[in-house]
Amino acid sequence: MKISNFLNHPYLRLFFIALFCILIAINFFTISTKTVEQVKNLDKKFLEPGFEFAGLRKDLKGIPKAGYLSEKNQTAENQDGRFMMAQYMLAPTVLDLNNPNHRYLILDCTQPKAAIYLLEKTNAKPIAVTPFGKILAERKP
Amino acid sequence: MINLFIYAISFFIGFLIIRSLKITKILSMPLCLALSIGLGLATCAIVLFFFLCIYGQFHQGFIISLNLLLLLTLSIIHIFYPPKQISEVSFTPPALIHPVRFYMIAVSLWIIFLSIIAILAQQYPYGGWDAWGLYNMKAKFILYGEMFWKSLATELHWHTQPSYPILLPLINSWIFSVFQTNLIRVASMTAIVFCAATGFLMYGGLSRFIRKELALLGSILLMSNHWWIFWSTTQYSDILLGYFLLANFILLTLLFKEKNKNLSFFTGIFLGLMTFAKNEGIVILILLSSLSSVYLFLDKTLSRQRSSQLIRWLLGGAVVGSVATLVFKLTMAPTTREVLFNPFTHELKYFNSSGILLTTKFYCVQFLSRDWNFIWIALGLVGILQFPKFFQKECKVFAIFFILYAFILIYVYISTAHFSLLWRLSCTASRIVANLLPSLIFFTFYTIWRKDD
Repeated sequence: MKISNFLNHPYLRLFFIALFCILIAINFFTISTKTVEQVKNLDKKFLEPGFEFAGLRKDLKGIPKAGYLSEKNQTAENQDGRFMMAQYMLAPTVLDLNNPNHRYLILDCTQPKAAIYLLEKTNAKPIAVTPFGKILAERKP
Repeated sequence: MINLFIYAISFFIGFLIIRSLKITKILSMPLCLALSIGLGLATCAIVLFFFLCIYGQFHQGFIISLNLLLLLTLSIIHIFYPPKQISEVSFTPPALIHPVRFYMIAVSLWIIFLSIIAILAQQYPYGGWDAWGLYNMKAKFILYGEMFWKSLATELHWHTQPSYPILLPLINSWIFSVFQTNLIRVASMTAIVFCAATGFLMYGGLSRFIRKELALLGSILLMSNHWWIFWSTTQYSDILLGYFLLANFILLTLLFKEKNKNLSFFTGIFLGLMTFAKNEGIVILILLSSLSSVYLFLDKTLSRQRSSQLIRWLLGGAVVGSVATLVFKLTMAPTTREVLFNPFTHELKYFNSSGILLTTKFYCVQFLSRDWNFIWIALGLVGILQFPKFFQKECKVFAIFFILYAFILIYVYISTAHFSLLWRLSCTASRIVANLLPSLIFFTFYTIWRKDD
């Protein structure tokens, strides 16, 4: 059999149609399960990313840039995403990661001790604190 | 739902632009409709971008007026000087089923899948990690950043990718600008619109070359894949890239057949628009425009003069389509950290055979993953059984494109300098595979069932 005859053989084309129909059937089974699951969860409430920082938005209004300090690891792979969440929630204020030289600083610490240490180190005082312990501080001139 | 009105405005802008180029008959109506939404949204977004560049900050009234003025101008042109549509169209295969019955089945299926997509889009109402962290966050800079809006590219930390093109945040900002209801819902709706438009575009594109029933099969095959729906509706820019890449495959295939200069210019515009969706779009633009130009240049059915003319229009369209990207990249965005243009400047851990092996192994695992419901295995099987056909006539442009693109991807991965390669692969592989899926399905269907000229 010539190669071109094989490539365009009606049975081969029929096989492809059958193959794609089987795939659609499998897809349909998966998608129905997922849809039913999702319909059951439609009332589920989702928390907005960075909601812990929402309380600082009002005080940061009109401030184009602020420092972001944390005692946690902030490398690309090992970060817990807090910096991105803070940036998302506090946009359009630009957060400058690990830069303590700005007038306004966001302190994102897990322990109060770490926050106090950072406040002392940067010579700043808190001007707003969220219920989740996120601090907006202002450096003394 | 009220925002659908704004999508409709963009759709009409896109539709009227296509009509102005006199190519609606060449494209066929379903294809024309599917392309109108992407073109219209991108046009409105680019209008917003240049307005921001010139005026310096967002202004609701001016933005709405500008886009309405554009719609009005296009409408007036069409009323008083209706563009005569070019009607020399090559053969379109007839349907086996009666058209009315066929469209009833097709529309019912699309409505079912559209509803499923809309439900599944609620899995992550705030979008995936990069969706809220990069794209939705940047939309906030555009809307509320006032004169500091450019900080989204000039000031942001590299964790939030300031070098990424901003078509998606601009589209979301434009839609949000009119009623200003809920930015998150707008982002979700945009993802649903592009997801559905890609499925419909698959039908529109395939039905131009192969039987409508098979085109519908291709469209449903894509729209029923839950993992593709997942990646398309999590509000990433990948769905935009997937949509524009598919549009380019369809338009280039049409161009190779119709050899029309208006279509060539239009295809170029779509190639250019892709660059404003994602950085990968720039690579795709370079690859596709070079390969297509070579193909047109070597096409024996065309005179040298005619092929040069088509290439000129194609590249001219690409320049027009990528003007916004050029302005963004040259005046605002920093150099991307993801790609090392000179690998000798860094000590590279993965620039060796084990890096290549790790990358290919990771992608093989991705292709075999149960999440994809065997679609990659099926496409691979077709690839093996139809291998010579993938390199026949115009198909070879796309086959070579995929091969070169795979090499470029491997280079980008192994030249990773700032992060762990495994981490990078786990963050990006599924999304890259997802945005290539529509064009690969189109390419496979077209290759199997294309009619030899």
